Amino acid sequence: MFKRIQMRKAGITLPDLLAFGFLLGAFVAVVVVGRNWAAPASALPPIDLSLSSLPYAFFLSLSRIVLAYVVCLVSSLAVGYWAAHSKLAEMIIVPLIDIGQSVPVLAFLPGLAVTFMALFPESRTGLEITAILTLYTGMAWNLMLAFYGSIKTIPREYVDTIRAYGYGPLGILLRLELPYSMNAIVWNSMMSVAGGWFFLTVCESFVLGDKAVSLVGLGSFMKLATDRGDYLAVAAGVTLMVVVLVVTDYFVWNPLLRWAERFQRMIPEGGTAGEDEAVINFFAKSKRITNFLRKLRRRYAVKFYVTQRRGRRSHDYSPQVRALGYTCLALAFLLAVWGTVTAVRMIGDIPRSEWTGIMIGGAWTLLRVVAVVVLSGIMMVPLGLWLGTHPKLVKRLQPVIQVIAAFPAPMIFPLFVVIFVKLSIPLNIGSVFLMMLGAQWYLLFNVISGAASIPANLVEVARTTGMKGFEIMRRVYLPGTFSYIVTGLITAAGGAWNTCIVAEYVVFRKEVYEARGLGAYITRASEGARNAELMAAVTIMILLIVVVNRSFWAKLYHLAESKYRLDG
Amino acid sequence: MQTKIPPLVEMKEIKLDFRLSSGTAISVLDGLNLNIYPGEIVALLGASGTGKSSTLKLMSGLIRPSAGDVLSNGLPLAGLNRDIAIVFQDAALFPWLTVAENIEFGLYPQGFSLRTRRQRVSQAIDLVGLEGFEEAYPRELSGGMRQRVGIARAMAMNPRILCMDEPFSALDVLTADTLRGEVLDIWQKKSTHLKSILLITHDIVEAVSMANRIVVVGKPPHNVKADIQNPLIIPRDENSWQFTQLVRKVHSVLTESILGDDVTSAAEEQASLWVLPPVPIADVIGLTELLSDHKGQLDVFELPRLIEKDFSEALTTVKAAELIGFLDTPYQKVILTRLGQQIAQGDVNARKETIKTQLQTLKIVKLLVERLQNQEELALPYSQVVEWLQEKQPAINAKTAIDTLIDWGRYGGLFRYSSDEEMLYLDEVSPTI
Repeated sequence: MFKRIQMRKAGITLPDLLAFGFLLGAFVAVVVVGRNWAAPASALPPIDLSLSSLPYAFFLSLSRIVLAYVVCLVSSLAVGYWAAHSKLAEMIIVPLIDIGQSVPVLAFLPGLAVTFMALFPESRTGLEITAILTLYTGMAWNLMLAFYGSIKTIPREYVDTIRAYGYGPLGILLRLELPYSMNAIVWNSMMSVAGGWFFLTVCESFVLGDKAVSLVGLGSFMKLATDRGDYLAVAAGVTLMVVVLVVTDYFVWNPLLRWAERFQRMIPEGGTAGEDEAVINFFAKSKRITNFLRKLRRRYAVKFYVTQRRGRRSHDYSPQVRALGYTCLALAFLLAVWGTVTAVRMIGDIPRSEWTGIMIGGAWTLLRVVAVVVLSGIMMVPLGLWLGTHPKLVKRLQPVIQVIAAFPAPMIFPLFVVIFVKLSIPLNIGSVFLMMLGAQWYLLFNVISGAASIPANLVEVARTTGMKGFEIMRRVYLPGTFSYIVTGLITAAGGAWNTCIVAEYVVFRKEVYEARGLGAYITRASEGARNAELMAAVTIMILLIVVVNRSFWAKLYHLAESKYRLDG
Repeated sequence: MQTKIPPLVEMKEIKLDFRLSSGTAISVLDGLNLNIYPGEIVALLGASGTGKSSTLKLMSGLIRPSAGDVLSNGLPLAGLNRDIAIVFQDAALFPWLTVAENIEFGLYPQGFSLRTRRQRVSQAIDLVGLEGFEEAYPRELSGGMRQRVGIARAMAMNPRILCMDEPFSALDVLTADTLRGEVLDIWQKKSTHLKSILLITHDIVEAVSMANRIVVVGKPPHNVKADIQNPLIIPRDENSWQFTQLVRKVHSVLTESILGDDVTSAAEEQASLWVLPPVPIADVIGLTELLSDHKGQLDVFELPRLIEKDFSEALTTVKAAELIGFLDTPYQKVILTRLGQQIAQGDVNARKETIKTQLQTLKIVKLLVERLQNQEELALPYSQVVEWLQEKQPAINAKTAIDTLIDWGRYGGLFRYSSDEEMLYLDEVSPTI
């Protein structure tokens, strides 16, 4: 009550001004990005390593990440929704996402580039779209799966309730499915954007046959800086990246996560007020805008929710929507068939010797992934268990670890290559270390939260039998966190496969350092625009990943979920 | 008398089948006839799995019958039944909406203006006494208050029939009692459109204290097993002689419908040879001990209180114990047999031996043992066992039946089951340790 009176007296407040300033800034941003898109493709400006060029480069990179994320969000919501509501779509879409997850981003690049450069031959629009869609292919899959899975797990009584009140499909989406999934959407958005930064270098600076393309951006900046060995520029880029990660964490993800928490069914009792509240409260104080939005919703929302007609059940879709859905499915199916046929034809022309090379490369990379998983397990499981049993320490270290984990490691891979050269470690082995940088963090976070969730009485029981430190770790914590460890290892393996394309092929001071492996093969095939070889290598990679997933990880996961569950 | 007033809802010869993932259909309702008249509070009483909730969903138009007709005000029901509002067991409130927003929730699709919605919300809040809680979130409320929000949300729809699916079963005794009184008050108020209430429950005392008509439902076919009028005047005194009499009467009807001493159809008879009631063997043993403590004999109505279960659950346990020969149930009495005495007083090994012998007299056990003996390893995968039973008895839930059988057979030392391998073994010789 008191607050409201104060607001009225104050008239326009500082938060109001800031909010409007934000809108103005957004407008300017659109203009700047638009001008870059419209500029001629023939005259790509050279990458400038001076520090003054960094803000503009960063801004363009940010615009690509944001646009890729927007596409990712919209498509994920659409595809996830569709898969959750149509049995037929589910049967086709879910395996496709599974495959999509295991395709490296570089595999999409040449095809996208050729298509969009043909569509926009004059301006940079084609190149920009190529970069954005390539980023998108590294972002989209987890969000799709998350939204789909979330809708599928909505408790029955909520669905019954909302249907009983006569909500149509749109009303159910807006008032049940989206709010219910909000937590999963925010978490996975965070993962997706981190994935975008991870592949930024690859997507902004690529080679197509005889043509090298470098779009102005932070990724290209870092690539050139490491190419040249310009340590000052590298340091500036890394600093900027860290600042960006910290700032987005504080001003975007934390407030969003806090906000999403309220949609959760089980909300922890007690204080949610923390330092991040400050940001939410600050924006919430801009009453003018929030009030306006709320009014808008309450006044006009009715129109959206009334979709029920007499004689039709509320959850039925209109025939038009159904027809559209089936048409899309049929098109997707035809596209998949056409794609497979073309791929098989292209692959058919590849000589046997080349196949042998691909197979050997596959074996090498598989071996590396195994090494990554084993080494990450040896390092991160004890570390995670130790951290998880020291909650105070974790609270202090968590932000630091998060920034390290989210830092796009490929930006500084060349620097590690310098160290490898000095220590005369061949990249065949060194790349394992690089892959770990892109893989181990998921495991660490999983183990920490697993160890923190072990019931105290289990530990007490062990203590009463006279067990001590290591013995308790081995007999209580290790089996108790088993399902977390398995989930972490699966994600780590996925991360390792994704990273192999940047870890097995590194350029430093114009010199190419290459490891034997499928990742290096794919990078070379992509740069040489040898589409048949690229297709063949990607196919082998997908097969390897899917087969290992189905035969090994799925069984381990089942074991973890059935035997080592603590709530059963 | 009632035939002169047209019913609000009519259900005629309803049939409802559920398809299992294995493809077989299970009949939930068959030949169900039920009318709801204005001015009634109808209690649907029955064991779990007898289609009570399905009946409610059919009435409100959430699901359609496989066969038969649902009429609302004399017309076939198309789409949702606008006369009905539902209150679920745990209120199903949206955690991200405030109390007021939750109550307003159902009004949006009706296309009401903001003004109307506000008015309806404040009326509903007034009706259930939630003033002062408008801005609270569900997590800040106690169970009773949450259920009041659920009732307010339903009442804001101006329903003619309020359907309540076990609305008080998750609440503590005192809160439940208070809420029952409040619901009756709401029903008696002239200010609402509410004509009738349909209450789903498995609590006989609740049914008799609230309803003026008690419908006992059971397994198909012909799910309505009894339709009992309650002439007692509200407020009802639970300690009065008439009240106790009626509770006894409903008890005995329900007992018959569950234990099926008198009238069992041929199909039911046959199924009972096959299916053990889904009760843990430990409960059956506990029951024999309880009876032994009471000199081997108890009134069936005393059981629920003593074993802290609701009536239908208690009866299912009795049925299971009877099937294996530990009990007799003449005239609503539960009497321990000689075997039952042995179980109650024997030590663990004696118990296991007796249960093993008794299990082997059951047809399903005989067949399963035979089948396992024909296997080379004396073992079968779990999924194959379920499939085998489903084939023999398409109308039952084979998975539940097998799970119960494994529980009993493990105790009796008849089977071994490895959940790691998902294999069922015949325990011919004791496993070497």
